[in-house]
Amino acid sequence: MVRSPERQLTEAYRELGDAIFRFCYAHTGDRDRALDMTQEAFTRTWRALLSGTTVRDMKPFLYRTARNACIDLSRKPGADSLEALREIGFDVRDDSLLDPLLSAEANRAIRCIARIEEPYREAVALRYVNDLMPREIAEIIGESENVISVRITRGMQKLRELMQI
Amino acid sequence: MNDHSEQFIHELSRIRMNDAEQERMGGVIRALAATHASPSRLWFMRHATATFAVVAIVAFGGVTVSANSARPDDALYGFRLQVNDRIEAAFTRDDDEWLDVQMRQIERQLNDEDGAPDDAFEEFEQEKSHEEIEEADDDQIPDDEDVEIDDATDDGDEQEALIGRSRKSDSNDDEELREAQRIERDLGEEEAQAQRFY
Repeated sequence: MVRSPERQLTEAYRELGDAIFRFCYAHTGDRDRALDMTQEAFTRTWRALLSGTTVRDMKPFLYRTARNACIDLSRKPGADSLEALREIGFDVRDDSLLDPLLSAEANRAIRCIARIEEPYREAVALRYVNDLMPREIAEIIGESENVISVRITRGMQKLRELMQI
Repeated sequence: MNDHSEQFIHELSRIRMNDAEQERMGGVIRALAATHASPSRLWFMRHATATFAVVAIVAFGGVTVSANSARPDDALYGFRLQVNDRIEAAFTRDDDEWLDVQMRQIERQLNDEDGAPDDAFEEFEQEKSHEEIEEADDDQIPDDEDVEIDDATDDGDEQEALIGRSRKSDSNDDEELREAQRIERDLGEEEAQAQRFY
């Protein structure tokens, strides 16, 4: 049965709203930016539905849209992402940026993930923060499963080094 | 991966938007869905109007055609008078044609109102009139076949009745003959007077 775009959007938010926020949070390392990227992801999805795009599987479509939104943000000139902040000497271990809703360990993990360079960062975020299987990650990113598995392994190695585990 | 890393990874997987953030994001989603008319809605609205118009036209046309043959006791008779006839009169080209249409409509209404009564009553009336004619025929102009004298019959009363009926018809013939002669006599006198005058 063909569902209306309104229904598709509301159901997608109900099922994947937190997951998309989690992904954006792991990608940006900042809660407010994560909320903006989440809103941007759903807004872009709505525009696609309005334009008549047929979305067979909303999950990979939303993740791809959120990923593209985060990449676009990072490419913007003057974007004060963690990477840009790091380049000007900002220390990501600054306690003033701690998320009060997360434990100390979780805050530390989020910051360490944000420090991992691409393409390993998103592979780790999707695998362990969003709990997706390598096959699903491969569909979202557009790479083979083997490539994704390698990226996950290497990303976790870098994370352990950063967290000194 | 060791247990310690698994622990914080699991904590990360439980990251959620808090209530205020949920409220804000939910409002954004509802605003998106409500303020923008989706293509399906626009399509339905556009086609709903056209579909409704087509259905209304077809329904009106059907009623008009049905009303055309409506009789005074039909439900659509009023529709025929108020709508069909008026439309027909409105499409006349000149006064003469309008008058023709009006006359035709009035004549049709009169015919409808004076028209045949119920079928059962009509049949009754027709049967009654036939019976009356037959009775009149029997009284005045009996068939020759009715007059039969059967020597073999044993019923003397019946013979007398038959003879009586025969005599009655003979007297009727005589009366007509006398009447005809009287009329001829009168005409002859009138002709004689006319000749004297001229």
